[in-house]
Amino acid sequence: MYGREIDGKVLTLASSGWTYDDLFILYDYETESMWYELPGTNALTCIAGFYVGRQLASLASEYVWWETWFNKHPNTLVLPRG
Amino acid sequence: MTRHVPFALLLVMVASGFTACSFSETNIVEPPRNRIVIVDVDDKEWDVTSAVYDYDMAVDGFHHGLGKDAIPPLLAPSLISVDDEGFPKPEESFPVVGTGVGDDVRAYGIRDIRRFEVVDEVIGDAPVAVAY
Repeated sequence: MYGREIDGKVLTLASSGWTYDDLFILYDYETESMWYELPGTNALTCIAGFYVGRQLASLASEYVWWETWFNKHPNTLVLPRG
Repeated sequence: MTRHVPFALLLVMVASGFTACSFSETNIVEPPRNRIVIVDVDDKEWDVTSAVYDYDMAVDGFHHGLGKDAIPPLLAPSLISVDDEGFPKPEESFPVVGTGVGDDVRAYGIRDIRRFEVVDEVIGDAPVAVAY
């Protein structure tokens, strides 16, 4: 989970269709810059394009079973399952 | 009027002299970069020169190239709460990514995120991308 605001602009991130080391490379609609989580970093780094060298920081999130999450946060919203 | 012309010329000469001077005193010479481009299934070119030179990524390490529209992201989807139809029962067993900004607490099933690769959201006041 990453922030997607940079210099006061909100980016729309999407899959670029490319992978590297089995990890999807994202891109943003606005500039078509490529964003990738480099090993050992806790962020997306712009590896090519307008924002090259800039980062979008990772945000706190938990990877857990639904049951665990719901018991802890009974007021949670959830994405309808497709 | 006529006096201004030589003065302006002089300025130009001084300025270009400075430029030439600063170039000749530069010791660090950047090696020339070849422009490196990868092409996806839609024939779209992606310039990965900086990825290769600055981030040490191998040009043959980029795979698939399915095209930028192959997996459209999910944009600000409607989420459901406990009283809504379709809300998973507490005992259902599936992995989620959970997050919260202030009182805005949310969960996204891993399988659902994978279908879109990215969910572009605003949580609290924070624009975020949920990706896994």
